[in-house]
Amino acid sequence: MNSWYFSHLTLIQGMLISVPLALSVQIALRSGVFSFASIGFYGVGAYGTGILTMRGWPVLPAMLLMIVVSGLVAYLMSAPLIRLRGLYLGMVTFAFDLILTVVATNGGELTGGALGLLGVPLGIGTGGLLAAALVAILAVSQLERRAVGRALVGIKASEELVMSVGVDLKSRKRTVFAISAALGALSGSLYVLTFSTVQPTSAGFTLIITTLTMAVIGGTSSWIGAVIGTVIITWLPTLAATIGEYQHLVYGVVLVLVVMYAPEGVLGALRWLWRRLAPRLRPARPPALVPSGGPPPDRGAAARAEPVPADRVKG
Amino acid sequence: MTQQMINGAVLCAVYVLFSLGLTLSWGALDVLNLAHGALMMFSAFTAYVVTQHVDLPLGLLFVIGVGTAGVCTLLLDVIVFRHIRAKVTDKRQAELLTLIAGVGAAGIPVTLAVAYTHDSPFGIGHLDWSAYRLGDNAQISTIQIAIILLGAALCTALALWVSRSRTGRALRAVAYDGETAELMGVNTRALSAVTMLIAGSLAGLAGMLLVIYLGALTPGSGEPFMLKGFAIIILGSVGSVWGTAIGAVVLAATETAVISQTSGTWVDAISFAIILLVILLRPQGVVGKGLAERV
Amino acid sequence: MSAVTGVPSLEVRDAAVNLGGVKALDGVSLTVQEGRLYGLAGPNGSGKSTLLAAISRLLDLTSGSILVGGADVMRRSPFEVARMGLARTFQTVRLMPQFSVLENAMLGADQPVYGSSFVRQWLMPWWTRSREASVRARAEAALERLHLMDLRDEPPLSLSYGVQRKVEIARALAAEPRLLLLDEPTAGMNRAERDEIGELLLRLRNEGVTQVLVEHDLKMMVDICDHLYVLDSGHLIASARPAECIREPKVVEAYLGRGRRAAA
Ligand SMILES: Nc1ncnc2c1ncn2[C@@H]1O[C@H](COP(=O)(O)OP(=O)(O)OP(=O)(O)O)[C@@H](O)[C@H]1O
Ligand SMILES: [Mg+2]
Repeated sequence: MNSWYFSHLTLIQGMLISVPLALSVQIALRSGVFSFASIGFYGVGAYGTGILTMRGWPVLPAMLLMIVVSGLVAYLMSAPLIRLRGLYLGMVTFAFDLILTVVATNGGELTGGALGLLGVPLGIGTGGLLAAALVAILAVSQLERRAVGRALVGIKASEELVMSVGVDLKSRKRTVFAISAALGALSGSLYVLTFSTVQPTSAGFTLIITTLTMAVIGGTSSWIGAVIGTVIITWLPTLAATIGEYQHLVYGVVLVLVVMYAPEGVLGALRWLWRRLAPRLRPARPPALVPSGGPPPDRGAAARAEPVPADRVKG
Repeated sequence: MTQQMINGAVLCAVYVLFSLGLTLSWGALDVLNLAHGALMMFSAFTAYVVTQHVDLPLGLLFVIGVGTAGVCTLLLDVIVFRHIRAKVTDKRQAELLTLIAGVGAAGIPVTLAVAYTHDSPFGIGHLDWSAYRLGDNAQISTIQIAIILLGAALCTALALWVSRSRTGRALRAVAYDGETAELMGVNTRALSAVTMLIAGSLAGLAGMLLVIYLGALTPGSGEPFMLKGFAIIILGSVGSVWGTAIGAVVLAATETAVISQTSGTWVDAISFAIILLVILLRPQGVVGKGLAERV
Repeated sequence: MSAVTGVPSLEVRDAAVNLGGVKALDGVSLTVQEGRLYGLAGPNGSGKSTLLAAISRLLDLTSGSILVGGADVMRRSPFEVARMGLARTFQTVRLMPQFSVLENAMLGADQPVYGSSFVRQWLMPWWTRSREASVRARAEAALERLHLMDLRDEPPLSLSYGVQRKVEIARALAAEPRLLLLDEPTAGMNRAERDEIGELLLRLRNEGVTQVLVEHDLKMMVDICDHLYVLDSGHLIASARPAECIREPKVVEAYLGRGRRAAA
């Protein structure tokens, strides 16, 4: 067991580091916010923490500062962003991730140019990573409970509805945006403190693919999905030795297939199974996790569209 | 100064070709294809792989490169995007899944190119073009002339196609209201296939022209182009052909000016600055009318 | 709840809404007194849902203003008017498929929790937990009124359309509103279910809940409403007691005249 642990240490560490990042994408998607911005903030967290600790800052303050700054910046940024319609928000946050690569490459001495930061002091052990991942899970899981959870699920289903029951949609979305960014920054900080290096491409396009795959393959409806996805994506390459350099190709194919055939991810499949099995295991009805019927029948007047076009909805 | 204008015009033409595909599929089909940049790179990469094995005339290489990007985009639409559109009724959810699928799809060509080239630049030769002197310290090569003419011609052709042809009218009808258009007898499947084929081919053409003009591309070349494409279509407003042309002129001019004044390392940041400015100041884009509103 | 002080619950002043070139509302003014049940009638496409969307602030007026409880709400967000005591149902049922019937009702009952800061709701789970019981109690009381308690754990999409509409009404009631907007609450229901809803609305009226009811079932409106407003093509064409209102020539023409012309 012990030798297994040491020979797989890098993977275990990588997995723990990825948990907050996968969660950051999961909560954005779950709340109907098409944002890839947290992956950019992963870069901010990695570079920021690396630069600070290399200049002698102690680990914890450096990390906390980057997390808080990322959250605040994201909160401020979100004011104009949250008004954008779906595809525009996706586009702008995607652009934000790509531009950070440019900034990192051109940051001169501060960011180490194309080579990135090298020799960041190691500042965290596996125990610390585990603790950070657990804190992230705890924080995100609280967003799924009771009133908070009901409102967030509602946002994705119908923004008009949640506003009409009294949810301050705009502030809710902005806060989610900020939480997502803070989780991204946390993950980036953990990365640089564990592997002591970060390159401009570390937070680039391939990270977007990997992270989206983690969040989507597990299922974005709950934090459990993000954790399942992280575990799968971390251990997938070890199962098939040939994956090697084609890793991101496999992720790409998997991502496309999951989106096409199982947009609810592994979690959706498990729920589906549970719905099938539960009635047989016990006489009671299945839990009300998943819709069991089709859309309501079209009944004339009631089924016609209402005069609230999506893009005119106020926030 | 003349030289800078020539460089700017070439840049502008490539941008136009690249962005037209992106804006067309978004405007008409609500598909923001995040694999567009990767497929642009992939067209040049395919041509490069071919040149490694056989010696083909440039014309044929163009057919292969452009065809690859066009067909890949078409397949992406037929296999993936259409499936999502048919299965997911909630429009927002469909858009999101399309976006994610596009990211996944982009991973495929990029990984292939990285694996084949070990993440290093690749080119397809054909670098010798006769140049003509213009005035004292400016010159223009035949490839530059070809790029500028192609950009202008295809942009005009596409604008005419959208505004005049039967198919173009159908496209605008779909952009305005897909369901109604379908009820009125528009074959939306065929139309989306044609649109995506054109969009992909334009990306492919941009990739081929770029690899010849610059001499080489890298597997990651598509990413900064996505940034530029975003800036251009948000400037020109989604779905508008002439808006795209205007956006490309603005971006190319700004970039050329910045390159001539500075070391040029920050040039990719201009696109992002433009995106931010437009979002803050004029969310509707400078032209203000998309494909749909002009019906 | 304040006693009636002469301030109407709801006042719409010269409201106009343009939707893509269509004047969905044009110069509509009306008043809703506290504790009454108002009917809003009109043929298809006359602007009824548009008016409800404008009152609940989901849609901006092109011109005009709306006052809720005497306060101008034109600068307020939908969630703010909801917290002022306004609840509504939608013409197209909006239920969360992944929630049970009870949870859907709880979404409405959560309002007092939403009123506190989001960070408190998120990072102080014991705070929301302490309120969960009362939220649940209010949701169950609302379900009880609609005789839905047996279905509380059912996923809504497994239910008939009429029952789904009842869940929608229960969610609105769970917020314990002072002003309730109902958009075709009985569409897709059978006669018995309609009568049940009619009785419920009357009972709510007697409890002092102000209501605006949009319905195509004129008989039901005449039976239960205190006052009827009739819209046609975005204009208010009648405002009177129900029995008189439906006999006004303009109203007859709006409903029947057009039908005759279409039939010819
Ligand atoms: N999203 C929209 N865009 C443009 N026009 C709209 C939109 N929604 C509604 N309309 C138009 O506004 C007008 C009023 O519509 P509204 O839905 O308010 O009518 P209604 O009285 O509720 O009708 P119904 O009895 O059918 O529900 C109609 O002419 C309709 O065509
Ligand atoms: Mg209506």
